[in-house]
Amino acid sequence: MAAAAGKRVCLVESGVDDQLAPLFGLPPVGHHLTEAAPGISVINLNSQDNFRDFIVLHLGMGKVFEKIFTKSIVRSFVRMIPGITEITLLGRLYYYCEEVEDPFDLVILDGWSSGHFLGLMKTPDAILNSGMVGPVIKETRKVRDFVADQSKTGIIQVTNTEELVLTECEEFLELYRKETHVHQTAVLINRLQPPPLDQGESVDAGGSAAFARAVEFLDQRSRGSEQNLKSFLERMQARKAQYPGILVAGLNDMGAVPEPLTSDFVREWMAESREIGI
Amino acid sequence: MGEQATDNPPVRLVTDNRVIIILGAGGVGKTTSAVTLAFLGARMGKRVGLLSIDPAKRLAAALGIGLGSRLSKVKIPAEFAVKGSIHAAMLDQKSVFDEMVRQFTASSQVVDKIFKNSIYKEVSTNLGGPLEYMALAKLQQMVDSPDFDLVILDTPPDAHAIDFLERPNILAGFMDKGVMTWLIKPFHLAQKMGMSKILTYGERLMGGIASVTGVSMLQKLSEFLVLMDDVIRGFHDAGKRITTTLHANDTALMIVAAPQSSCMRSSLKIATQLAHYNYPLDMLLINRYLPSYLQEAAGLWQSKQVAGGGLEAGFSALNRKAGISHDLTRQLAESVRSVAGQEVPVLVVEEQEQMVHSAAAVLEFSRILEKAPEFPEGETS
Repeated sequence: MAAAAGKRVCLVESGVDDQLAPLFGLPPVGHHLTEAAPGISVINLNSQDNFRDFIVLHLGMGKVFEKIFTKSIVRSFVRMIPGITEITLLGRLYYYCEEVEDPFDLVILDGWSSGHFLGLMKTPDAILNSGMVGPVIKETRKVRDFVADQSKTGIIQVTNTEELVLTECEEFLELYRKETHVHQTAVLINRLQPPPLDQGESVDAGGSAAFARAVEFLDQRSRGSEQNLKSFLERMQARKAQYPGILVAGLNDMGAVPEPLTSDFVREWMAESREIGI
Repeated sequence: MGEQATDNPPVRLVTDNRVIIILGAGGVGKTTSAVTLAFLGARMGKRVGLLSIDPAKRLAAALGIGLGSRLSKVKIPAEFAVKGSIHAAMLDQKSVFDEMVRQFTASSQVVDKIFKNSIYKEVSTNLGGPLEYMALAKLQQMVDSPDFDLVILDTPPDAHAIDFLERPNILAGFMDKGVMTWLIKPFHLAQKMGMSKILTYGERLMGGIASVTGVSMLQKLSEFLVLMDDVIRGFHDAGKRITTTLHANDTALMIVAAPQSSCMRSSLKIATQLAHYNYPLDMLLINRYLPSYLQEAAGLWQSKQVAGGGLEAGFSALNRKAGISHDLTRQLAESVRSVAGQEVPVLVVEEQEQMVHSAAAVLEFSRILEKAPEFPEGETS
């Protein structure tokens, strides 16, 4: 959507395998920024290359890196430094937004699972509070200010309508609010089920027992989903003051996502996305 | 002893093993599978210890109880006639770290110094990296305990599960390459004695590192690591022991997956990593397979023999899923078997009509899992 609106977008992930590139029909790209579609680049950042990029590109100390940090004993030391993976990842995002010659208009990180992502968001403050000083701390402060600046950074929690997943989403909304400075922009509820049948409404199964059972399955699932969502929205409504301006939006359950993504599929999916509000 | 059961792979998994490690992508039912295997073990009369190292609270929610770092007994209603027991815990980084510092550090004065150290305060509470080290130590503690016949570990999703398996190697690299002996301690001593001249190779390397970090930061970091010397050794020992445990014949590793493209890539990557570390894969469990009646219904809808009425959108999504479910399951099974071995049992569990959110539902699901068909045999086409 952003690229269609003329923005230059960088899609970032940091995982053991590439999940973004295949959506554009590309083979794994790894730690190489690759244009996947007009206006959209993808990259899968890894911690060792992030560390090298930080020293070489960010600090401009390529010779020191080659001379010192390629030694296996030093690499073993660096791997033991707490928070190094997290801070160099955030540093890369900061770099793409603020430091490169031609920064991206929008950088989207496909984050880790909730608990590990919370750790990522807490890392800059944890390093700053550790009592250390020096150039790295100066850089960490820049990253921290960037992450905490709500005009620049926001997080979106993606959830679905399962009861456990919604409860977990609420817990993490609270944890992000209490334990980080990051701005919570939106909750995106994925796999929204279509409405259940109206009371008294039925579907003619044409004599097929399987179809009749499928109707019951889909209707029950929609009812459960509707009930879970209603309870979630009520609880969110009661705590609305804690999340000023947060957007709650929904995306329909499409059953499966084709790879590579087709423009028809994306158009259909986005056309039916909707603001739910609290 | 417990109730009579079949001899299917899930039953053999819980009866033949002392430790089961569950790995997989996010959102595929990993925690539910861990809890279900624990119930299956308890049904077989086993005393089960269940540990989650995912910082998310799914395990507690799935069990419907408040879980902390200490093992607590899961209440299983008497009418279920389950002979065994389940004790479960969620790893709390701070409390386990404090516990391990006390356990591994010989001097109580050093323990006090560690607890007062500003880096320790942040590392133990707010930084994500140490979680996997705590898990290694806690898992080994549970394995050593005579209170459990079976220990099940629910790992975090994807990359972080691999992190868990890699931690002993990171510690081994730190110890075996003599980072403490050749880099940290000489630098720390030189700084403490006010020696500005760089004398040794190690100190020259530290000088190079300091040109990036600044001397002051490196001083603080070295002071912290020297304080933690015993603790690092303790974790290293625990890591070595847990590596042995993970390679033992009575330890099983299992991947939980679902028929989705992204999940297939994750599962294949995990299987590849396991093979890289010489860990045999004992089972691939594919959850959320589309039941045959839903596939049949989707086919009828697709061919316009029956209309979806008020559920048209639901049938459209169902049809899209039905179109890929079987092929992806086959690809998933074949690709994982290609790296982990053709003999790896691949079990298929159909998407459930009800969410597995209560003890009764978990118990029922454990019966479904027990009888889950192997792919491609059985009814899955």
